Amino acid sequence: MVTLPLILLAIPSLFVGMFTVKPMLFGGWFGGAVHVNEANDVLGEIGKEFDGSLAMALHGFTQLPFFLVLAALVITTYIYLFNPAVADKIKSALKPFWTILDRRYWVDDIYFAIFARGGVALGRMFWKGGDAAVIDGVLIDGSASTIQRIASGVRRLQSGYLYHYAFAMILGLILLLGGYWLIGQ
Amino acid sequence: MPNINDILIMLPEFFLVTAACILLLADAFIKPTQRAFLHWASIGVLILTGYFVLQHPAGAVTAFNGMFIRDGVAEIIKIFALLSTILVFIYGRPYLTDRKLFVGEFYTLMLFAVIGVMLLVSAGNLVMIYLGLELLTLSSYALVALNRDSKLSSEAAIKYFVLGALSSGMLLYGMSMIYGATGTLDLVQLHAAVAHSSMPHLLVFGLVFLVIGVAFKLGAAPFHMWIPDVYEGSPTAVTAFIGSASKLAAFGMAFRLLATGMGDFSQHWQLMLAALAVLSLAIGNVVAIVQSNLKRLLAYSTISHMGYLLLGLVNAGPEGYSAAMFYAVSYALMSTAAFGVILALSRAGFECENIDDFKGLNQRAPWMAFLMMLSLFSLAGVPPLFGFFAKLLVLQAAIHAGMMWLAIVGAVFAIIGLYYYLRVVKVMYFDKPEAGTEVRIQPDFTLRLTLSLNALALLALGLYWGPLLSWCKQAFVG
Amino acid sequence: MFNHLLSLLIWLPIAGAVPVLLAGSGRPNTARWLALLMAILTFVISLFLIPQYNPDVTGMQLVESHLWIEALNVHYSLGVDGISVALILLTTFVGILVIVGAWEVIQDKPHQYMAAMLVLEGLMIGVFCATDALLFYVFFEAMLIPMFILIGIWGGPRRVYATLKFFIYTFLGSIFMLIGLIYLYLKAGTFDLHTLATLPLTMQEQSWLFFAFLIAFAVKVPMVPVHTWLPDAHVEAPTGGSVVLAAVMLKIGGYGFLRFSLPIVPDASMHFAWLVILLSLIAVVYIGYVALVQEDMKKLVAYSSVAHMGFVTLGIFIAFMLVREQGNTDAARLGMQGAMVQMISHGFVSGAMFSCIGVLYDRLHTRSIKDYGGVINVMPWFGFFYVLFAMANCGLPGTSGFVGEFMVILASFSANPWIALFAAFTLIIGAAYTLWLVKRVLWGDITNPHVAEMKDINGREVLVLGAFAALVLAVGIWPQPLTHLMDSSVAQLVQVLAVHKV
Repeated sequence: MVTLPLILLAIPSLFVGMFTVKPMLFGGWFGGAVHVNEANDVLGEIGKEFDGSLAMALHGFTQLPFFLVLAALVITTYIYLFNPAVADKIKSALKPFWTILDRRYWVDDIYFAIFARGGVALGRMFWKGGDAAVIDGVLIDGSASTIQRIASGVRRLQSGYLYHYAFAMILGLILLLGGYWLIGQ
Repeated sequence: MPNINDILIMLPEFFLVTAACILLLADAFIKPTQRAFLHWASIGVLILTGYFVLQHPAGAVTAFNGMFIRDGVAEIIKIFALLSTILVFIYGRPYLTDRKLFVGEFYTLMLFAVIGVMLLVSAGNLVMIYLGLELLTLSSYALVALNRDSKLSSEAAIKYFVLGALSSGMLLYGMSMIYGATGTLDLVQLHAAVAHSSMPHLLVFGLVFLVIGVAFKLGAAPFHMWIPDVYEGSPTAVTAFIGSASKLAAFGMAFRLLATGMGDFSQHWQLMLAALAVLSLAIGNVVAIVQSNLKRLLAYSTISHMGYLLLGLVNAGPEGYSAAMFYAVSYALMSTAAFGVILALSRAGFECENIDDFKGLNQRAPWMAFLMMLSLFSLAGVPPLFGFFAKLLVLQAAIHAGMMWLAIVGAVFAIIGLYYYLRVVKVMYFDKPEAGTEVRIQPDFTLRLTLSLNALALLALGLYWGPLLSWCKQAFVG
Repeated sequence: MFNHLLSLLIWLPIAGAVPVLLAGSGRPNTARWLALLMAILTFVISLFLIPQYNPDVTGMQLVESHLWIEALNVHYSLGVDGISVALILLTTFVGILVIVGAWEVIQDKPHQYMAAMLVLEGLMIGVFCATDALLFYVFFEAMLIPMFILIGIWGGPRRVYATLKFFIYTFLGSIFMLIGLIYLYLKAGTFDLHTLATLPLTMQEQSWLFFAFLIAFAVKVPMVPVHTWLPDAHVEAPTGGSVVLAAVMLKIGGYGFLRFSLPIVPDASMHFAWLVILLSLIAVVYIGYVALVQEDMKKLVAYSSVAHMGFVTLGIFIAFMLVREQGNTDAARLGMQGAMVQMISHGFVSGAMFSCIGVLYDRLHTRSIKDYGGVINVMPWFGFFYVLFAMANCGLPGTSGFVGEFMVILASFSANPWIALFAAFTLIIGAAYTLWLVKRVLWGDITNPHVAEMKDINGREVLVLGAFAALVLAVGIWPQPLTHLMDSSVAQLVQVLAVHKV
C-alpha cells in the first residue's frame, strides 16, 4: 500500500536537488523574504565558486565527507555482514562509552524523573493539598459545615417553652435599655 | 359631634364594619350548605372596600380631630392588605372545607382583623393604634385557635396570646411614658412636642417599649419566638393571613409610631432598629437552614425578611420608608404565593407542610413546582423576580443612611439564606418522588387561577415594578 | 426590525421557550424541533449584527434606551461594540450546537431542558448587550437560575452538591458587586455605564469598588483561588450544560472586567493590576499542574479552562501596565486583542472538547480516563476531531488557540519578560496534560472490552464537531475578520486605560 507512493517519492528525490540548488541557494528564489547580514553571508561565499550542479556533484566525490562515508560503508559491511563478533568485542572493550551512548546521556531519564514524575507529583500535591484540602475543604465545605453547626445550635434556643420565649423578650428589653444607656454615656 | 365629612373619610372602615356585622348575623341564619354565599360575599365586601379606599381625596386628610389619618401610606397598605385577605379566602376555602373548618367565624373574624389593620394604619392617635392593634391581634388569636381539636393549634394560640399580651402591655406602658413626657396622645402633636420636650430621657425610655411592641408584631429578633410556633401550629390558611396582612399592618404601625409620632427622635430608634435588624437577619437566615417543616422554614424566612424591612426603616427618611413599604408589599405577595402552593397541595388528612412532601414535585405537578420555584426565588431575592428589587431598595436605603456595614451584613446573610430556598427547589426538581405517595392538587379552579396569577405576578412585577415604586414614593412626599 | 435588533435577540429565545415548554413531556420531538427552530432563528438574526455593526466607528452601536424604573433612573438600555458582537455571535452559535448535541442524549423531560437552554441563551445575550449597570446585574444573576436547574436535573451523580456550590459561590461574588453598584448609583444618580465611567472617584472609593467588582468577576472567570466551583459544575453538568458554561458563561467574567473595572475604576485597577496578573499566572502554572494529574476527563478539561481563562485576565491587565508605565499603546492593544481572541477561541475549543467527551460518555457512561484506551481503533473519525481540538487546546499554530495566546505572550514580553516566561509555561504544561490525555484515551491497545463495541460518531455528532472544527481552523488560519471586528473597541478600551480619575 505504501510501496507505490514511496517509489513515486524516491524517483524525484534523486533528481530534485540537481534542479533546485541554483535558484534556491544561489539565486533569487526567496526574493526579499530571507535577509542575511553581509558579514555572515556563508552561502554567498560558496556561491562565488558555484559552477552548476553537475560540477558541484563531481567535486563532492573528491572531498573528505565522501571518503568518510565510503570508509563507514566498508567497516560496517565488514562487521555486520561478515564478522559480527567484532561488534561484541568493541562493545565490551569500550563498555562505558557504549553505555553512555546507548542510554543517550541519560537525558531522557533525567527529564522523565524531574519533569514528568516531578510534575505529576507537584500536580498531585497542588490538587490534593491546595484545591481539595485548603480551598474546598477549609473555605468552602468548612464554612458550610460551620454554619450548619451554628444553625443546629441556635435552633435549640427555640425550646418550645412559653416562659423561655417571654424571658427572651424581657432580655431583649433589658438589652435595648442597657444598650441605649451605654451609648448615652 | 361627628360630621358627615368625617364619616365619609372613614367610609371604607364604616362599610367594612357594617358588612362584617351583617355577615356575622347572616351566618347564624343560613344553612351550612349555603355557606358558599358567605365566602363570595366576604370577597365581594373586600373588593368593595378596596374600591372605597381608592376613592380618596387628594392629599392627606384627617377625621375625628386627627384620630384618623387618610393618606397615601394608609391607602397602599390597606389595598394590599385587602388583596392579601382576598387571596387567603380563595386559597383557604378548600383547605378549610377538608378539615371541617369552613365556618362563618373564619370569615367574620378575618374581616374584623382586616378592620383592625385598616384602623391601625390610619391611626392618628396612640389610642387608635392600640385599638387597631388589639382588634387585629385578638381576632388573630381566635383564628389561630380555630381548629380546637388540634393540640398544636391550641398550643400555638396560647403562646401567641400570652406573648402578644406581654407585648401589648409593654406597648401600653411605653405609650403611657410618652404621654407622661409630652402630654398628648395625638401623633402629629406628639411629633412637634418631642422636638422640644423637657424630658428626653423619659421619652427614650418609652420609645424602647414602643419599639418592642413594633418588633413583636413584625417578628424581629429577639421578639420573634412566637413566629415559628404560631406559623407551624395555625391552620395554613390563617398562617397565610398572619404572614401577609399582619405584616403589612406591622409596617404601618411602625411607620405611624416611629415616623409620624416619634420622627424627631429618629437618631435614637435608628440604632435600636439596626440592632434588631442584624439579629433578625442572623437568626432568621441561620436557623431556617435546619428546618424540615416548610411552614416553619417560611416562619424563619419571615423573621429574616423583617430584618430587611428594618433596614429600610433605619434610613428614617422618605427613601427608606418607601423602600420598607415596597418591601412589605412585595413580602405579602410572595408569602401568599408560597402559602398558596402549600394550601393547593394539602388535602383531607394530609398537610403538605414537610419539605419531603415536595419531593419530585416537578415530575408529578410541574406547573405547581414552577409556581413554587418563582415564589422561592423571589423570597431568596434572585433577579429577575420581584423580591430582588425589594432587597435592592432597602439595601440602597441603608447605604444612603450611611450604614454601609448594615448593608454588607444584609448581603452576607442573603448568601447564607440562599441555601434553604435552594434546598426546597432542589427537593422539588432534583429528587425523585417518594414511592407510595401521590400528589393531588385542589381541583378548585378559582384557587388554581388565582395562585397562578399571584406567582406569575412575582415575575411580571419583577420586570415592571416602576409604577408600584412610584406609588409608594408618592405616599411619602411632603 | 434593525432598530430593535438587540431586544429581538434577547427576547426571542426567551419567548421561544414558552411554546417549547408547553409542548409538554408528551411531545418530545415537537419540543426539540421547536427549540432548534428558535435557536437557528436567533443565530440567523444575530448574523445581521455583522452588516449592521460598523467596525470603524467607536462607541456603542445599535443603541436602544427606554426608561424602565423612573423612580430610580434605571433604563432598559442596550448597546454593542465589537467585543459584544463577537461574544453574542459566539453565544447564538453555541446555542444551536448545544440543542443539536442534546437531541437524543436528553430523554428525560427534553422540553424543560430545551426551554431552560433557550432562556439561558437569551439572558446571556442580554448580559452582553446591557449598558445600564442594574440591567446588566439582573441578566447576570438571572442566568444562574436556568443553569442551576440544568445541572441539578440532568447532571451527574454529585450534581446537587455541584449546582448548589455553583449558585451560592457565584451569588456570593455578585452580591458584593451589587453593593458597589448601589454606592455608585447613590453617588452618580444613575446606573448608566457610560456616565459611571466619567464619574470622578477618590482612590479609596475606587479601591473598594475594584474589590467589589473583582470578587464578582473573579468567581465568574474563574480565577484562583475562587475557581473550585468550576471543576465540580463542569463535571456534573450534562454535556450541553458544560459546553454553554465553558463556552459562554466564563467569558462573562472577562467581559465584566472590561465593562466595569476598567472604565469605572481605572486607577484602582492599575494599582492592583499586579494582583490580577499574579493570580492569572498562578492559574496558568498551578492549575496546569493540577490538570496534569486528573483522572476524570471532564475535570481535566475544566481545569484547562481555568488555565486558559488566566490568559484572558492576563491580557487585559497587562495592557494596563503597558499603557500606564510605558505608554506602549501598541503592545497594550496587542495584549487586549489577544485576550479577546482567546475568549472567543476558548469558547470554541472548550465547547468542542466537552462535546467530544460527551460523545465518549454517551457510549461508555464513564468519564474516567483509565476506562478508555485504543479508542482510535474503533472510532477513527472521532479521533480526528479529538486530536484537532486537543491541538487547539495546546495552542498549536493554525488553530485558534494559538492566536490569542501568542498575542498575550508577546504583549507580556514587552511589559516584563518574567511574566511572559510564566505565561509561556502554558505552552509546555498545556501540551503535557492535553497530549497525555489524548494518548491515554485514543492511542494504545484496547484494554476495556466495551471500548471495542463503540460506534463511530453519527451524523448529528459530526455536525456539531464539524461546526466547531470549522471555526477553530477559520479563526486560527485567518483571524483577521475577528480582530478587525474588535479593533476599534479594543483601541477605545486602551484609551480608557490611560484615563486618570484621581
